[in-house]
Amino acid sequence: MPLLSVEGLSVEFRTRDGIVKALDRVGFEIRRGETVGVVGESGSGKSVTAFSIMRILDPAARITGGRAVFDGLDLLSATEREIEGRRGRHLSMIFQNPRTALNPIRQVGRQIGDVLLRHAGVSRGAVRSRAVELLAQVQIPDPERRYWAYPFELSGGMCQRVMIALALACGPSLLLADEPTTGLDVTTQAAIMDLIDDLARARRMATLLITHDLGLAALHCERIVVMHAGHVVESAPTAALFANPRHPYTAKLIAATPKPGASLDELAAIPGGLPDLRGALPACRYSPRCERYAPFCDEPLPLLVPASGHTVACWKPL
Amino acid sequence: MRRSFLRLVSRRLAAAAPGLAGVVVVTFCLMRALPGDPAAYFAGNAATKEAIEQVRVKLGLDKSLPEQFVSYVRDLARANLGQSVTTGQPVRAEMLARLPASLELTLTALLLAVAVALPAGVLAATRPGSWVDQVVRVLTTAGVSLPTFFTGILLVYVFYYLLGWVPSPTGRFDSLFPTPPRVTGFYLADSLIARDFETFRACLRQLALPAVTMALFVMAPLARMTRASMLGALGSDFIRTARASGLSSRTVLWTYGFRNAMLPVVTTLGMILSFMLGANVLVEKVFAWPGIGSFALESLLASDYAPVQGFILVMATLYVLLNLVIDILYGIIDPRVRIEA
Amino acid sequence: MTAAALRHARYVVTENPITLVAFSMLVTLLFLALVGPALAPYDPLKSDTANTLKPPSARHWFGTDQLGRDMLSRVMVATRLDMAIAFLAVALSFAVGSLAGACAGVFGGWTERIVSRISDTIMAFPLFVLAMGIVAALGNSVFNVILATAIINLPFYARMARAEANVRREAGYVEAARLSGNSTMRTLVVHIYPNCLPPMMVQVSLNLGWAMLNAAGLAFIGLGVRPPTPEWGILVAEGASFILSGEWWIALFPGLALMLAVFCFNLMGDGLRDLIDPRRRT
Repeated sequence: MPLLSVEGLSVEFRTRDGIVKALDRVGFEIRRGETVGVVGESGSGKSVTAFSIMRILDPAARITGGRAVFDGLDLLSATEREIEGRRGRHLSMIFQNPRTALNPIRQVGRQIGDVLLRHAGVSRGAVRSRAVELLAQVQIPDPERRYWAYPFELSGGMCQRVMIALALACGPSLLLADEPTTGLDVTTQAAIMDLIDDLARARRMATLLITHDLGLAALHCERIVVMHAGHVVESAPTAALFANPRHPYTAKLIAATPKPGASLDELAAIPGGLPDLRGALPACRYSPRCERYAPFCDEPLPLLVPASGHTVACWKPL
Repeated sequence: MRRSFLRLVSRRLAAAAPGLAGVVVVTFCLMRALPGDPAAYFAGNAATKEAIEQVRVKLGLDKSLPEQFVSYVRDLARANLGQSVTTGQPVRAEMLARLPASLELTLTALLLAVAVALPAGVLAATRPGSWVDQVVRVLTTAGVSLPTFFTGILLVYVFYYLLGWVPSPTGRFDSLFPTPPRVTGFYLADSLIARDFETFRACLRQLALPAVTMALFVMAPLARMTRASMLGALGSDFIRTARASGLSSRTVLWTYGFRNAMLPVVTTLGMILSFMLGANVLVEKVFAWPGIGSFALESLLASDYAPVQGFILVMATLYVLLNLVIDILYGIIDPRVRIEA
Repeated sequence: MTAAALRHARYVVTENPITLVAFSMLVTLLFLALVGPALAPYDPLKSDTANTLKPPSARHWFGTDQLGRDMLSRVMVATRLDMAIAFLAVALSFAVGSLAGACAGVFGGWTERIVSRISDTIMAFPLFVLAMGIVAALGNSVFNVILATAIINLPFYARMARAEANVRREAGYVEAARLSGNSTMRTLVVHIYPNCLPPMMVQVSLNLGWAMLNAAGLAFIGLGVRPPTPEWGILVAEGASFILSGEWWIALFPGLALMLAVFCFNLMGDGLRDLIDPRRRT
């Protein structure tokens, strides 16, 4: 029984220039304790998927279909009250740009305290010491003093640790991590990812890692879901995906990832760009860029049913 | 926290000093720029030649300009603002007697404006595009076009002449009621302290229209700024994090959204105060409110210049000090200003 | 560039019909300012003791005042004076302030320090109080009202111009101009300054409304313009004493005219802001 099962998730944005169909029947699942990666180019809809699950989309967005069943409750059709009760407590999220994702005029310790007070039933007196404990758990040095620090006094890496402490404060069973290391330097990236891994393992917490960095996903994820232009195109265990990519886009992505020793001329870029998501779109949104395109590719693709194993949404897989 | 606060206050005090210096210098120059013989102005219209000469010597106007400036500053240090020709009293005494009236009016108007504009701005921001939002936007654009003196007159016509809801606009209190025993000089506060609720109500009715008139003009920029900065704050990343952490919508709105939104609003207060201190004169004239503004005006029309100079000095000093308070307030809300990272 | 600008302008205007309305009202006011005195039905200064304090009627659309003068004519003729004061004051403070600010932004050093110091000193006063003081000190004339209003508006333009010039000082085309032999002064005048102007146009429109309120306020308390010259502020002051006895028309119409004019300028300013920098829309 998966912890989170997303099925047929479709999202639209109302903009000045028309309706943008950001997600089209996205589906995948995560089991307890599993780490799943969602990879794709910028603009492929990875973050929108996470925001939809958490129901923190922009007001201009509308969820037009689908279900996201988390621990028995369909998050997409739940009431605001039911969602508020789950957010921060059973499922949490960490974001890109940790410095701007924290309240700039409130001490970090107190921000963690706000979450504890809300969900964890911690008494007012015990909040501070519990928050300091959490800061220590995410390996922030001198946590007693850092409790009173403001985000602008901390480095990017430390802010991300604070966010992790915030997200994990109430022991959620699922963590959505939206590009948690983008913008951090490489050493800090590795440290943060290791921290997330350790904490997830210790608490048997599932992690959904959203990233454009295929290499990062390869290192830390057990399964990978590949997205393109609002579609899920392939989903497989990590090893299988790299050994035997079945969607042309996945193969191109793997080829485009720089390898140590390769020179810059050898970078295999993927031709074309993401399609304009307004107006009429072909059934397979990758077909305009695909070398293997054939007329039958215009048949509407079947809904990719969330499942384990290796699934692909393509009429002419590799 | 305490140390950074003290540092903030001392730094802001130091920053206010050049402002005060500028005020002193400019007022000095203004009064010496009077066309003709300044001594004649300070001596008054009905003065004889000997009286003018006496005034000239007394005010040191026969000395050189630098010497005049030194004695001017020395007088100011001793809070000596000269003598009013029309009332024969020292200007300082007149100012002190009338200052509470002006302050009561300005403070009440400010409180009223904040009490209406802030909730309106927040409401408009939390319901973007709704009818509340549209109404607020139209009213704020119209509001900044209202001439204060005209609004005052209109309100008098409607609420006094037509409806009779308020007493006649001739000052601070109805002569039927006794003035409350002076503790602060603020009639509202004093009557409450003396537990004289009849007088309190009467004073409130007198204060209502002038305060509303002054408040109306500043409500517009305040509401507009609150709405804009609230919209900005609610759209930022940290609000998304707060919502994702499951914090209650009340906490998200007030502790996370509103406090951050208040920063630009506090900055706007400076501009608003500048306007209010100026509008004091206009409102006091319309409602015959016995504050320092109407005193300065009467003196000006009678060519009695010492009170006018005193008025400008008092208003400007008040403004500098109030800006200091606003700066400190801003520093309390925003730690980035207080703490050198 | 012009075709695209016109298309954008048409888009903004049709998006925002209110701007169009404000613009047409403004044109009407300007028209009145120019030819008002010729169109007025009666001589605004001529008193008619037989017809004092008459409410609005077919003969006198805005009624008559305490000396029997026709209010409609007085309000119409006053348009010219009020608009003139506002435009002249803003033009003066714009010209001096923006140039001073641009110089401060480009040259830095002492120029910047002096301009800043003067700006800050002006801003240390509540602005209306300073205007009062200036007119009181220099004497009661229309010119001094214009001067006082111009002075209190200087800091806004100086600051904006300085910021804009600061930004553009490092721009590519400025470097190019300097490398091709232009002196700094010439670079400033020919290249930097004209590019600082568009954002300040928004400020100008909003300032016009504010300058008008200022001048009317000064006139209301008896500074600057003297009766019997028709000016909206004075007209409201004259009508103020009659409000208590119920003759509402003497103060109402000039007040409404003033409100309308200021409202137009504010709407125009908002419309211009949308045109020039759509990001700053509120």
